[in-house]
Amino acid sequence: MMYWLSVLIFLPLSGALLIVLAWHSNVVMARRAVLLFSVAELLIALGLWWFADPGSDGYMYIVRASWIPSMGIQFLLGMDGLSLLLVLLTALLIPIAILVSWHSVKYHWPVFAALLLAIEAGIMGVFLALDLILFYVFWELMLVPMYFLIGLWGHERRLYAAYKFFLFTLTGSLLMLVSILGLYFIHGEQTGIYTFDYFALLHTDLPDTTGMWLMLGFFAAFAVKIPVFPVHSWLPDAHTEAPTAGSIILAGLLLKTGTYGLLRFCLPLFPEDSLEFAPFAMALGIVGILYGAFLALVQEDIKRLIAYSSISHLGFVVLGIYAWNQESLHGAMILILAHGVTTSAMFAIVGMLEERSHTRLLSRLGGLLLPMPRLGTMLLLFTLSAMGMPGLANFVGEFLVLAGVYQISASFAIAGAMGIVAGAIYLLWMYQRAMLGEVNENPAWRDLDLRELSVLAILAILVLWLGLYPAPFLDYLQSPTDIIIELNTVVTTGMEDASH
Amino acid sequence: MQAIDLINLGPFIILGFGGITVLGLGILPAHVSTRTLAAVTIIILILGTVATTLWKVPHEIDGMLVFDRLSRLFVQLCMLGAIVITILSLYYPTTQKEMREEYLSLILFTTLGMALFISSQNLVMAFVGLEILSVPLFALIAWLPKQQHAIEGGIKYAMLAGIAAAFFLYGTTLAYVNSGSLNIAALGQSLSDGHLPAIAVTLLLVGMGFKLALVPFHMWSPDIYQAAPAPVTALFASTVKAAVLIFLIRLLCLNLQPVWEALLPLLWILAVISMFAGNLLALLQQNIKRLLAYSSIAHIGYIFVALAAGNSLGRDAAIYYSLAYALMNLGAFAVVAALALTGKDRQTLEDYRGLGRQYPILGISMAISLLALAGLPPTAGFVAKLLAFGSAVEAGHFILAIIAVINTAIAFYYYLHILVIFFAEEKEKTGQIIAPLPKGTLVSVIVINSFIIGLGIFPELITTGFP
Repeated sequence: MMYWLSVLIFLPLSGALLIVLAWHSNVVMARRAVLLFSVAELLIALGLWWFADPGSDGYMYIVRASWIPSMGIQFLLGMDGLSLLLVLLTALLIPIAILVSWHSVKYHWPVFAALLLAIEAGIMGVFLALDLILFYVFWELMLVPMYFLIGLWGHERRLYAAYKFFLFTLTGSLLMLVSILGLYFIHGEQTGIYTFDYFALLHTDLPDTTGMWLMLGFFAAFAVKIPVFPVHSWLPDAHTEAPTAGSIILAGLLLKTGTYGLLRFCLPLFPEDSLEFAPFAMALGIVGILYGAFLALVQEDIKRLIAYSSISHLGFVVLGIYAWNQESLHGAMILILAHGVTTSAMFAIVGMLEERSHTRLLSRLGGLLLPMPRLGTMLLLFTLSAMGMPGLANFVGEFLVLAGVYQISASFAIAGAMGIVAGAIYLLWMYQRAMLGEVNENPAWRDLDLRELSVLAILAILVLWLGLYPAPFLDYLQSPTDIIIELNTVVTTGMEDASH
Repeated sequence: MQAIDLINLGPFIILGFGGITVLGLGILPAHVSTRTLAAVTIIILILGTVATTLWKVPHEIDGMLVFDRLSRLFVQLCMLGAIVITILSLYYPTTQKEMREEYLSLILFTTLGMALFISSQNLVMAFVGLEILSVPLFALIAWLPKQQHAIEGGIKYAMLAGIAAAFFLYGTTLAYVNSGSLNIAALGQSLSDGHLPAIAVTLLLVGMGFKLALVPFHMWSPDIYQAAPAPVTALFASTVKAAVLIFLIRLLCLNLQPVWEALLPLLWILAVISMFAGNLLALLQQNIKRLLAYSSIAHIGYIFVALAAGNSLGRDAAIYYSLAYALMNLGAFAVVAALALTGKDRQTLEDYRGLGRQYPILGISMAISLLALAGLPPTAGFVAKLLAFGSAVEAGHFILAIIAVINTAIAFYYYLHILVIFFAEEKEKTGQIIAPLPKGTLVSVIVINSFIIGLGIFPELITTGFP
C-alpha cells in the first residue's frame, strides 16, 4: 500500500515527460493523455481515501527511503488526515483545470498539459513530504511550471505578473531554507544526529530568540504563499493575468500550500514561539480579512475581485489557525477545502464568461442570467457559498473559525464578522452587475455545454456536501487537530510551571 | 621513478604527447581534414580520461604532484570539458574554417595545464601549471583577429595573466621565506606565528582571484567573455575556473588550515562584494555573454560563502560547487555556441527571442542550465547552494547566509528573463528554414545536462570520500 504515495508524485511527473517527448506536436493525443493521467491520479487518491482509516492516530501511510544519507536527507512521505484531504482536492482540481482549458488554450496544448502535470507533482509532493529538504524541493518545484503557465499563456501583463509571483514566493522560500538549515544544525549539535526528518526535529529544544527567528523564516515563506497582508501584492496580479487553469490552481491549491505549511511545520516545530507570535498573526489575519474585502468592493475586473476575496477568506484561515483551539482549527481546515472548491468554481465560470464575451470588466457585462440561465444559476450557487450562506461549504468553516476565535477574543471575532458582511456586499453586487439588469446586446451568448456543466456540477456537489454534511471530513481532521492542540496545552502548562 | 609513478603520470604524458602529435599532423604531406584532427583530439582526451582511472590513489610524486580522488575527479572533468569544447568548436560556424592543428593542440595543452594545476602539491609546480594553462588561452581568445575586440581581448587577458602571475610568484617567494619549502604540505607543518604566512597566501589568493574574476579583480571578465569565440568562452568560464578553485581549496582547506582560519574575515568580505557586484551588474545587462560573465562573478561569491565558513562542510561545499559551476556554465555557453550565427555570436538577449521554441532540445537544455545556475532543485546548482548556505549556517554566519539568499533571489530575475525571451513568441515569422543542429553538439549538450540533473539527484556520488 505504502508505495502508492510515491506513485502520486511520480505518475504526473512521468506523464509530463511522456507528453513532452511523445506528443509534443499532437494536440489530440496530448489532451487525451493528460486527462487520462490526471484521472488515474484522482482514482489513486480516492483509493487511498477508501483504504484509509479515519480513526487511526496520526499517519495512515508513510514511505521512508534513504536519499542523501551523509547529510541526513531522506525520501520521507507521510499522509495523515489533513494531507489526505488536500491530496484529494489537488487530484480533483487538476482534471477540472484541464477540462476548463479544453478549448480556451489556443496554442501549445501539449506543453501546457505537461506543465499542469508537473505542477500537480510538485503540489502532491508538498502535501506529502515530511523531510524538510524534500519539502523544500517540491515547494520550489511547483513554482517553475506555474511561472511559465502565467508567463506564456497569461493575459496582457503576464510577464510582470509572473515575475512578481516568482520573486515574492522565492524570497520567502529562501528565507525558509535558511531556517531549515538553522534548525538542522541546532538539532544536530544538541543530539549528534544530523537529520532533516520532521519527526526527529519536532522536539528540538530551541534557545529563545533563535527559535523566534527560525519560526519567522518559515512564516515568511508561508505568509507569502497564503498571502498574509503585507506580502499579498503579487496575488491580484498573478490571479488576474493567469489563464483560467492557472487561476484555479493558484487559488485552489497553491494558496493552500501556505496554510498547510503553517499547520504542518510552523506550529508543530516551534510551538512556543508560534504561541508567542499568535496575537500578531491573528491581527495580520484580521487586517487581511478587512483589507481584502474593502479592496474587493471597488474592483471592476471580476477576476481581480475574486482574487481580493481570496485574500479575505485566507485571512479567516490564518485567524483560525492561530486562535489554536478545537473549533477554530477545524474551521480553518474546512475553510481551506471549501475555499479551494468555491473559488476554483468561480474562476472557472469567469473563464467561461471570458471565452464568450472577451472581457472581465463588470461594467461591460450585465443581464446575463436571461441568455445563460445555467451559467447564472451555477454562479449564484458559488457566490452564495463564498458569502458564507448556511448550508453551503464556506459557512461551516467561517462559523467554526469565528466560534473558536470568540473564545480567545471577542473583538477579533467581531472584526472577522465584519469581513463576512463586507463579503456579502461585494459578492452580491458583483452578481447583480454581471447577471441582472439590462440585457447585454451581444447576441452570441450560448449557455454552458455539457463539458462545462459537468465540471461545475462536480464542484457544486462538493460545495453542498461540505456545507450540509461535513462530518466525514471532520473525522479525518480530528487527529491532526488533536496533535496541534496538544502542543498548545503542553506549552501553556510548561509556562505555568515555570512561573510557579 | 617507479612504475607506479609512470602509471600515475599517464594522463599528463598522453596530453603532452597528444598535443605535439596533433601539431605534427600538420606537417604531413597529405591534407588531413578538420574532422579527422578533431577526432584524434577527442581520442587523445578519452585516452587521458581512461588513464586517470588507472591511478593508484592516494599517491604523491616527489612532493610535486599529488594523486587523490579530488584531483582525479577534476582532471576527468577538465578532459570532459575539453571534449565538449572540441565538438562545439568543430560545429561553431566562425571557427569551423579556422580550426586546424594549432587550435586543437592549444586546447590539449591548456587541458594539460589544468590537470597539472589541479594535482600540484608544490607552489612552483602550480605556477608551471598555471602558465601552461594561461598561455594557450591568450591565443585562443584572439583566434579570430578580424572579429571586433578579439585582439584587444587577447591582450587584456595576457596582461592580466601577467599581473596575476606576478602576484602568485610574490606569494610563492614569501611562502618560501617563511618556511624554506615550496611543498604546500611542508608549508602547512612549519607555519611561523607571524603574519607572513597569511600575507603570502593572500598574495597567492590575489593571483588566483584574477583568474577567477573575483571582485575586485573582475574588470576584465565581461569584456573577454564577449570578445572570445563562444566555445573558448565556455572553456575559460567553466573548467579553467574549476581548476583554479580546486588548487585554492587544496592550498587553503587541505593544507594550510591555520591560515584559512586567519583569512576567514577576508573571505567573508570577498564573498559579499562578489555576490552583490555580480548580481547587481547582471541585472540590467542585455548582452548574454556579459550577463553570464557577471553571473559567474556572483557564483564565485557563493563559493566564497562556503569557504568563509571555515569548516569541513564548507570545504566539501566548495568542491561540489566548483564541479557544479563548471558544468552549469559549460551547459549555458554550449547553447550559446550552438546557436551562433555565421560570422558572429548572437549578442543581445533579443537575438535569442523564440529560439527555445525553434530548437526544443537546446531550449530545454538552456532552461536546465539556467535554472541550475539559479539554484532550483533538483539540479546540481541547488545542492551546491544547499551545501554552501548550510556550511555558512553551521559556522554561525546567519547574516552571510541571508545575504546569499537575497542574492539568489535577485539572480532569479535575470535568469528567468533570459528564459522568457528564449521561449517567447518570435516577433515576426522570418520564414527562415531552421537548419538542423549537428548531432555532436546535441549529444554533448544532453550529456552535460544529464550530469547537472544526475548530480543534483545523487549528490552522494561526489560529496563522499574526500579527505
